Amino acid sequence: MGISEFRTDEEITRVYEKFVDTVYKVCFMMLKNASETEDATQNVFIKFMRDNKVFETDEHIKAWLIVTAQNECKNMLKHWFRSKRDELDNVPEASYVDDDSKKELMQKVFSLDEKYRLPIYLYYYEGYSTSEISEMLNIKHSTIRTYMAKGREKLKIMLEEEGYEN
Amino acid sequence: MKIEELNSCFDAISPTVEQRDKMFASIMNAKQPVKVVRFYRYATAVAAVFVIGIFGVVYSTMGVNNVTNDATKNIVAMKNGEDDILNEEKYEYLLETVEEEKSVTEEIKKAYPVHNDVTNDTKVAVVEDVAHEPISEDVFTDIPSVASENEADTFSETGSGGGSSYSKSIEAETISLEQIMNHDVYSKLFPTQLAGDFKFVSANINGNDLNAVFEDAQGRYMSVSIISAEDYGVYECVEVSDIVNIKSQYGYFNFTLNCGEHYVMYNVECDDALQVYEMVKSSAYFKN
Repeated sequence: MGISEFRTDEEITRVYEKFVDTVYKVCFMMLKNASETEDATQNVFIKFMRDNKVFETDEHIKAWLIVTAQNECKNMLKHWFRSKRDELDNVPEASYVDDDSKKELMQKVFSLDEKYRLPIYLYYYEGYSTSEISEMLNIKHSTIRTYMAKGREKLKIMLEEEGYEN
Repeated sequence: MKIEELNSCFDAISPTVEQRDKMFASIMNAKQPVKVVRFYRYATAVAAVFVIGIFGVVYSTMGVNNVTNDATKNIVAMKNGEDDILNEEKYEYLLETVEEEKSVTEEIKKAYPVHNDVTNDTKVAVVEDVAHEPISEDVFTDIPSVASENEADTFSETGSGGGSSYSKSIEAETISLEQIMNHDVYSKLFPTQLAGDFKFVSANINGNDLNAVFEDAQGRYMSVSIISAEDYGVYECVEVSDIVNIKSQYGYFNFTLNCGEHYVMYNVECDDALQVYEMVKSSAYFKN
């Protein structure tokens, strides 16, 4: 891909079609809110559109989008309005899941702390290794491994309490 | 819990088709203003350069027109065909002005041969010659006896004359204000006159005007008439019986007046061109 200040429509369309789900999922994992997730996803792709960075592979693009999505969501979470509203609206959405058992599982996952949630998603769903997640989230490798272990344990305990079959 | 179950939950978190289209439309809409902003940036830069260029041209033109006192520049402009700046009538006037200035300059040079020479070395030599010339007694007889009694005693050796001869000796210089404001003329006229102490000879007040005669370090006499002395604080003296001292340096005169009951000191600063002009206009040397 050549250097360009503003990316072509074709490039944006291709990247959007390929990675919108990933970006949306990352944002949803952090924001737990559909409307804010839409806003964050849009902002991430707008940043991609206006960025001059030259990407060598699609994996490189994907990693860049995940990191940018995480930063965008952090910024939104830091916003004063969001911090005030979050206290009242601290219920994770799981409206996308029709199956009740899956919805329950989803709620348990979302009830995990954010620092456990995203590494678990990236590890199990996106297939990144702990070292890759460490590099991507700019967190120590050992810390990521600790988060993974604690997150799994917490999730397991919560599911066992609810009688979810292991 | 199996990993597949967990992943199926994550799978479920996906935007709907409507959400995808909506987000994509928003992203593509956000692209348009970028181009517009970039265009406006370039347009603003070009416009700024254009405006600065026009301002520079206009400013330089205004600068040429503002030099109304500099006849030479205007004549050059006229010769260059800039008819929009000058008309024929003004051209003739400016030519006359230049000729007048030249004639006045020649008169000044004739009146003050000491300062005619261009080089400083020659100038100093001529000044010394003048300084060593003996002062004619006729000069003292022309000085009015309006000084204090002490000063009058001093001059009793040479005698004191009447006011009529005094008025003959002092002739106002016909130096234009433009010439005074021209620093070259100023420096030619004043380099020695404003340096060193001046010895008081005589003084009187005529209305609000202060008239005084002084002798400089080179034995030459100078009359200084300060018009509307009220402006300089002389009005504080009901009657000036004596000017005790006058010192002069480049840029100002320092007078000390004996007003009978008290002394009054005041400075006349000469940094203002008009003030210098008044002094030059009303001062004259008694030729030896």
